[in-house]
Amino acid sequence: MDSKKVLIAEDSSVIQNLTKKILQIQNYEIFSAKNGVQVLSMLENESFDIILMDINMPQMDGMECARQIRKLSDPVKSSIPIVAITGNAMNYSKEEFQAAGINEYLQKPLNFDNLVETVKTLTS
Amino acid sequence: MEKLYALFTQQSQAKEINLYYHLDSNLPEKVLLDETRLLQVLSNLTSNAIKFTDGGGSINISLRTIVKSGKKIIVKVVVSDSGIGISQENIKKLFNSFSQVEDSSTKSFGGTGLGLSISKELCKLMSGDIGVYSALGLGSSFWFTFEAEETHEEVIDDEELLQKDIRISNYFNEHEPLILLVDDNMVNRQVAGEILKKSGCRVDVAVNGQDAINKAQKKPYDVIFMDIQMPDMDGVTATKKIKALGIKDLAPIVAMTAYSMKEDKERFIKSGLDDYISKPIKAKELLNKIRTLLHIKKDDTPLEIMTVESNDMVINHDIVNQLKKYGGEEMVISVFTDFENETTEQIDSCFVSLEDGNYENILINLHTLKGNAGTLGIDKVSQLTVEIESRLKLQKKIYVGLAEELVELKLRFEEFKKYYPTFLNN
Repeated sequence: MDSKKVLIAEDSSVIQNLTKKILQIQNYEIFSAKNGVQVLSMLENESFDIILMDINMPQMDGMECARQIRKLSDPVKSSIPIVAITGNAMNYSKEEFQAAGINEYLQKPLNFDNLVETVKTLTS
Repeated sequence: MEKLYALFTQQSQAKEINLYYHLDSNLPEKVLLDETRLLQVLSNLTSNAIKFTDGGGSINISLRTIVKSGKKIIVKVVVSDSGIGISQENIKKLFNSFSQVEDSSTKSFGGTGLGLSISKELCKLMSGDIGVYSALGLGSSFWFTFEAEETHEEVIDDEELLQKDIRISNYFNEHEPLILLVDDNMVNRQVAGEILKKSGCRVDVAVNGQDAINKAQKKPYDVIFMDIQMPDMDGVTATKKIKALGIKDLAPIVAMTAYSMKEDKERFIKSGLDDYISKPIKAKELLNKIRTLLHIKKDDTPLEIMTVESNDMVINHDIVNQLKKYGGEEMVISVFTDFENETTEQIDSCFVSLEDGNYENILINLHTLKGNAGTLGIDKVSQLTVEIESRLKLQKKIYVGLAEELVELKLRFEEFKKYYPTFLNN
């Protein structure tokens, strides 16, 4: 079976590399973006099985990027599961996350078991 | 000096600046001084010098005794750089910005010259002065003086006491005094709080005047320690408001103050405070004050040494084990290296923004650092970052004490850097 494709959008290279390594070992294929604009341009030529997205990114934050993804004309791409990664879950309510099109959120500090479990559930 | 050197070699090397220091032979071997304050001033002047010196230039730091009378000495420190220099006109401005911030209990400065303003305050606390010689194109020499006392004894200062985690056992016998500690500065709260808890006190903290007023009504405290210089509401006002509440058997309120003038102390007593102790807080003074106020008899119990590893909190073992479970030792090393690189940039960026008055950029950096340090279990860095970030969010400006907190953050990060290679080897 081919490995599932995960796009990690995260400004901090610490979290970027960490999640990348953990998920690579779990046999996922990893792609990286530094901000929301990059995510959208990558989606023009490529599709993913799941997108992990930091909320606090420069240029285009995770909330706006999720809204844009949900508006894409390609029905496969517009329905990719999106997991928000957030340092301040308090900043947004569950309803606000849902309204932006975010399926699930993980709070920083990241729990590695949760991370792996969430990705597994949403890609199977 | 070694500590300072460790803090700045990397930064200067990155710009290819040569950093030299010279200790004059007339300096005594051991002196009593406030190391934290001295390091804060030195690190401020050094980081300025690095900022204004181009690659290939050099920075010289020299220390020498200029006055000696008995055991008291006055030391002069000069930080010279080969940088762009400052015009006479701007030198005047530099010092004018100092004078604006004096004579006020409630302080708030903008960004320009903030580090220098704080340095001037700190020099005053060390009974010294600060100044600069400079001309455009000829580099600058910032100098400052401080008073110290020559000693021949082996000295253990409060901080070392804390680091070694020495317990002052049964200091208060069966009675466990209930203390309210009011201070807006997190580092100060932490230092005083640790001393109090280790000596067997129960401690609540309040982070500002209003918080103190609310908390004072809720529990029958034995002593309230009140910082005087706080933003929004100073300690004198908060004390007056607490006293006006008519609380039955209200605890004595003790001013914690960096003002050391006799008139100032009298002024606090006249303003309604019951007593005072001077900052920086010293363990012995603090505990003696409580004992005197509560009429607790002196206890001759010797200090009992607890063998707790002070490095325990630097890195959280549980989280590292979790990481190992997923990616083995190799991944741990790799993410810690990433963390070291990114955090170096973030902290440098915070210091630049501190000078520019750009609190938003400090917030962004701290926010990311918080997530990173928390996720990797770098606990001491993480905890401090959480506190500084939340306060900065509340204050929405560069507040008094932020510079000191960032210096402390940098020191904790340096501690992590030194510690993690040996930690991973074991």
